[in-house]
Order: sequence, then structure tokens, then C-alpha cells
Amino acid sequence: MRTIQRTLFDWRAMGWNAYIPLVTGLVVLAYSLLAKGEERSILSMMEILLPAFSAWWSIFIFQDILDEPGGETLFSYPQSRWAIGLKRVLIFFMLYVLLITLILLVYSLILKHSFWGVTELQLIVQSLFFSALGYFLVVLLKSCSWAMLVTAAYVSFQVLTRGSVFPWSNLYFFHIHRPSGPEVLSKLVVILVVGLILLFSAQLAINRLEKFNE
Amino acid sequence: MQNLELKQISKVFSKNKVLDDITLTIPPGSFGLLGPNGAGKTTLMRILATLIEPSSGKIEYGTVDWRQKGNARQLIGYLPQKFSMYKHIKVKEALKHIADLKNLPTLTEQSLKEILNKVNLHEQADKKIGTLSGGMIRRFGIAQAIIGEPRIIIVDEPTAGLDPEERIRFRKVLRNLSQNSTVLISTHIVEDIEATCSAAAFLVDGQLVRSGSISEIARIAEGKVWELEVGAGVFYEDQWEVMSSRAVGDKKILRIFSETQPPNAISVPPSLQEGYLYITRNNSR
Repeated sequence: MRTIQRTLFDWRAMGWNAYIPLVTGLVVLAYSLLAKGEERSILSMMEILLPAFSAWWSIFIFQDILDEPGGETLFSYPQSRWAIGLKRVLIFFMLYVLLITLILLVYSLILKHSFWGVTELQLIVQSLFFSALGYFLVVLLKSCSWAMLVTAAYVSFQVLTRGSVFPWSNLYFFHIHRPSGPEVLSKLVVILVVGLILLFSAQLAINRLEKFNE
Repeated sequence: MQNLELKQISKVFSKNKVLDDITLTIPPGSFGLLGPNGAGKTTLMRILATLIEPSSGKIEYGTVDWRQKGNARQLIGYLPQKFSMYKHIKVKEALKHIADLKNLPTLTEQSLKEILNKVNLHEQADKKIGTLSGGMIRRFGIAQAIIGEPRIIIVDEPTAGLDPEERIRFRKVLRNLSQNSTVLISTHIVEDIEATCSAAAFLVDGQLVRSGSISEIARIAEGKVWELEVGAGVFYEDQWEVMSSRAVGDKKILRIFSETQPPNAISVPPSLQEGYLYITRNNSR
């Protein structure tokens, strides 16, 4: 109950930033419904927009704590740094998974054509990576704007180059049809591992944090 | 109420020693921590607020050791130098949330009212924090610090950036709080300490150079402060170090800081400000 109340408070504390991923989800859904049958463009739209916007919540739930002056006050309350950091990131990631699931559900109900299974798994693992990247960047830079800019720069670079420059850093697949398990599995494992490393590195940085925005 | 004991506290940030072997007893009531910018006051406040750990030394309040952060955090309320949080949230909702984060029972309307009355924010209870003035946000900062009636309230640069009226109001709030808690105020504004504290300590370059009652600290400049009556158009700034001047009729009375007696000047009791200047000048590295 307490966790739900605190999550609702975190949601309201984000102000209009809380709604951006929802609006993005609606845009993706509307596009997917309008472009019925255009599997390639729907997959591209979903892959480019849905995972990237999972960074939004994991960045902005730290606005009051790391970006605003005085956020250090929260560290003087009897709360563990795990509860301030990783726990909240994971809660909002779970909410984002729910959002992705809802979008895919509505799509499959209306068009009788589903992206369940491998596509959903791919989107969730990519979203975990972006949630972790957002968390890592906001802890490192202590600025939501800079964390968003770096994330946007990464997405733009990969999408514009179709992942061909520095392919080792590309987490996109750019499928032209629904992927099968063996096609994506090994790369998804790598993305998952990198995501987990980012998550725990960010948490370690928060555990050791001694300099705060003034 | 008990004393807050700091024993041989040092802090090093990547080879830079910011605090050097601070041993200090802070009695109940309001206590000032004075020092110029860069003296290490904020670092010491953050150590006391459990945000950072000292490189060595220990802090105790009765049986509570600061190494047990959870226990120490139940004792403290903290307001940092700059405070700006939860702009999209209403004052009373934010206070209820903070009570929850402090693991306290849900704040009743009555206890909320009492906290808001203490900081004179009752009329802003339903306003979003982002719409409050700078002074009101500082008072909200104090409100969040006093939730749960902590025994130790730590306030860093409490009146920085406030207008004179708000500054007076804020000092009054701090004085009232010191009746039931230890209020530790860090500042480089001497008037804040004079107006609110009965005792203080001086930090210069990370070292504790003096502590004691306000009058004891002021007395360190005894025999070095003089008053001299001069004509209204006379300026002595080049000859003597004039601290202040006030007009009395068609004359001016200069307050001079000097190791030796200026001609015709009379010795006067020094203020805390003068004690502060004497200490910082004689202890700067």
C-alpha cells in the first residue's frame, strides 16, 4: 500500500513529464492502427519510439532528487539509497512494460493481428536497456535535460545510420517482418546484460553519491 | 536534552582535506557555525545530516552513534542551503509524503496545521510549491525538517537570498524551534547568529578555530575596536579600518578596527561581527 502511495506521489511530482510516455504510446498505437497491414513500418515505429521513451520516467523520477537544488534532503530521511534509486526505477519500468502490453493488446484486439511473443520480448528488453541508460545518465550528469539529450542523441545516431556506424553499440534490429526467436535471442541477451550492468552501476554511483546539486 | 558530540571529524575529498580534526560539543538550544565561504561548513552540515560519511572521527548524541545512519536519521531534520522540491505538489500533500518517507504515522489535519502555523504557512497549505515565493519555500523547507519533531535541526545558510522582512521572520521561527530542539545554523552572515544563537563555533579552512558563547567569541576582539567622533564631512578610510559609521547630529561616529589606539578614540566592547573578522584575519592560511 505504502509503495503504491509513494509511486502515485512520484507520478504527480513529475508533473506533465509523467504523461509523455503515455502520449507516445497513443501515437504509436494510432499510427499502427492507421497503417494496418504495413508490418514493416509498424515494427519500425514501435522499435524506435517505444523502448526509447522508457528512459523518460527513469530520468524524471530523479528530477527532485538529483537535478533540483535541495534534493539532498531526501537522502537525510530514513530511506535506503536502494529504495530511493533502483526500487523506483524498477517500479516505473514495470509500469512501462504494462503500457507496452496494453498497446499490443489493443492493437491485436482491433486488427486481429498480434505482435505477442518475440516482438513483445524484444521491445521489453530494449525498454529495460533504455530505462537503465536513463537512470545511469541522470545519476552521472545530475541533470534531466542532459540525460534526455544524450539519450536522444544515441537514438538519432543509431536510427539515422541504421546501426551501421559502430555496429557494436547498436541495439536496434530494424526488422522488415516479425522476427523469430533465434533471429533476436543472442542479441537480446547482450542488450539485457548491458542494461543490467547500467542499472547496477547507476545504483552503485547513487550509493556512493557525496556531491549534490547546489 | 543532550549534547551533540563531534570527535576528531576529518573529511578528505580526493586528497583535499576539507575538514581537519574537528572536536566540538554542541549544547541544546541554537548553535551557530560561522566561517567564510569554503571553510567547510556545508561539508560538516552534510556529515551531520548523514548525507556523507566523515573520513575519520565519530559523532554521538547520547547513545546514538552516527555510524548507525538509520538511528541518527530518526533524530535529525535537515534544510540545505538551497531548497526547491516538489514544484508540482501542494504544500500539505508534500508534507504528508515527507512524513511517510520519515516512516512516521500519517499526518493528521491537526498536526499538519500545527506545523504550518509554526512556519507561518497555513494560508499556503493548498498551494503548489512551485507557486510560492523564495521566503515561503525556505519556510516550507523548515516545515519538512521539523516533521516528526526531530531533536536536532540542521539548517545551512538559512537566510541566504531572503529579503529583510522574510529574514526576520525566519530567524523568529528558528528561535522558537530552539526551545525544544538543538538547532544548528551554519552561515557566513553574522547577524543570523547574533539574532538566533547563544553559542557558536568558527571554522576557517576546515579547522575549528574558536567556540563558545556569543559574548566570549566577541570578546576575542576586545581592545581592538574603537569609536571616534569626527565631523560629518571627514573620511578616515585611508588611515584606519572603519567598520561602520553612524551620524549623530552634525557629527559622525566611526567604529574602527585597530590593534593600536587611534588618537582621541575610545575603546568599546566588540560585537560578534568584529570577533568574526578578527578570527578570520588571524587564522587564514
